[in-house]
Amino acid sequence: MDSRNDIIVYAEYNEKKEIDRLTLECLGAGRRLADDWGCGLGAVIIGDNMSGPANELINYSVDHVYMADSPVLKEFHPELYCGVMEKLCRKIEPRAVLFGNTLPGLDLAPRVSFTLDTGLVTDCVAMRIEEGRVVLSKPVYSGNVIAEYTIESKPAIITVRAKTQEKAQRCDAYDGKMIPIPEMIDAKDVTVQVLERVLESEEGPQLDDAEIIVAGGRGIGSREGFGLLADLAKTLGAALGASRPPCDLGWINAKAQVGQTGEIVGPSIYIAVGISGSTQHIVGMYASRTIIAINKDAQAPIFDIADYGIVGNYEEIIPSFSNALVAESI
Amino acid sequence: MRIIVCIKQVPDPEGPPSSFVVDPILKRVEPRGIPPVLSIFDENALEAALRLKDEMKGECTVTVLTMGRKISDAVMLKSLAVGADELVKVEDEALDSANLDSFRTAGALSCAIRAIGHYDLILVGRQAADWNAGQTGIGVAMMLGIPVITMARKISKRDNELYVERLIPGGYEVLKSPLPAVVMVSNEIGQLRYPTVIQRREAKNKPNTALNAAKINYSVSGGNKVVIKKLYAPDVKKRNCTIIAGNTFEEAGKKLAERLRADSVL
Repeated sequence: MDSRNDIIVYAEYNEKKEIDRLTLECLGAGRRLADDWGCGLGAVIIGDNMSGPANELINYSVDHVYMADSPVLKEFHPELYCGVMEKLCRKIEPRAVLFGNTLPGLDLAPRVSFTLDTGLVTDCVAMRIEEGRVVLSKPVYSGNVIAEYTIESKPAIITVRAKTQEKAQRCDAYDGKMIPIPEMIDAKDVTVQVLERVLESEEGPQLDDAEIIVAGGRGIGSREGFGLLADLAKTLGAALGASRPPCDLGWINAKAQVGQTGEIVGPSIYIAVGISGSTQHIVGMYASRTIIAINKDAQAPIFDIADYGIVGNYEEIIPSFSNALVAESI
Repeated sequence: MRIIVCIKQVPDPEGPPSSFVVDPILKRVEPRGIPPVLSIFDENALEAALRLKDEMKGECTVTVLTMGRKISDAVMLKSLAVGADELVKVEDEALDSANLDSFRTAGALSCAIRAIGHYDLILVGRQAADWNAGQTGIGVAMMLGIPVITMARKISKRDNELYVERLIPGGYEVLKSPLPAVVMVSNEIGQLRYPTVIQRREAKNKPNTALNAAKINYSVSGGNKVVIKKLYAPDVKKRNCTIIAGNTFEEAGKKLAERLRADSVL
């Protein structure tokens, strides 16, 4: 198949060089768009010593895997990586480029968009082909409005919100092609120097893949209040989350934020404590299977989307709730 | 050092869903019953600027740049009250953010920044609280031909170079950049400080320059690259909430645990 007019997905991977789940979701979306559009699906992977993950990508029915493999590219550097993406796009002229709506994706996609002088829609939750064009849905106004966009220039640049797309199916022995792209690094691209990288150790279940999340809002009232929630989370083997106000107020690390600008989650159980339920929070946790709300205010919007609720003071409710769970599990 | 902070006015993003009324014909959102505010992430950017100013003790001026179809002076005065030195506002029908894609927004802001002239650092929020594009800062940097750093959680300056902590998955990295540069600020940097009553009063006497599209040499040509086809309110299905009550809150907590066990939820 001709690789021109492919849809290409920018692949992310973790420390162990396993392909990110969101990348697999992008590949799933990319495959569906490619089939509707009648074009091929490509993926780009950039880094050092990448042949393992690059070959793995082919197993997700990727027709062309473009691999930029060099010690210089070992760590994500937006200027260098943008240079690679720019040169690749000029060469293969893709129809669309999909990124995950991640920290690296949100840094890289706008650079690629402005460099190639072509439109970008970030944080897309749905994509479809209509009259030969991709139509993109994106929540705006803190999730209170959905906007549908088209991109009038080529390639269409898109970032995809986590957990909105079906993952690509793994199918061994897919007839995809590996295409190394070694010549695309340009040290002139670099103006910003990385002095140090600090990875903060993360203990316990993470929001991203926790089965249960215990989350607190402004109603928790203090840093100490989050201690009570942390205890409950520990009892349940849950991850600890928060709406935006506690993060802004420094009661909890900002990484705990669930919502439009934080983590988008979809656990089996989401326990919202002292969270009133602003739209920008709800859009981040609405996909949870069972939602339990504890709030002083019976009128709080969180009860509209909850399955179980208690109206009352969390400081008195949580310990007895937790004790009853422990007692029953013995 | 001169810092320019780009700040957008948006309808209060914390307003209830009913306050965001969609006009499907004009394809715009008409806020109802909620006041305009400074976009929250731009407030983080302003706080970052003020901290740099505090550190540099007088060797730093902070200019707030805002742009839009209609700008409320009362809302913008907050930025001067907390410590910005001057306000530049570019008000024009042509600068309605509903009609500008990120290319045009970044284009108009770059024109305004060039009109201001001298600058060492440009700070913007990670994204605006209305359209959430998150592209403007990078666009401005590329149009001005200067470096850009995203998702900053800490910014400092030493020997005419900028040191920035940027969030990465699972941690952060420390970057060094030459100046001038654009930095997009994350909410992790902290909330904007509160002004005192005296600061509020004095804010009215600070320099406040009104410009328009012609004065910054900005004109619209061609079409948007990204076009809005449709706007609508999302269908958030309500769930049937079973309220668990008890004689005391403690009892309610216990009953909730029992109910969740009985329903095989937990």
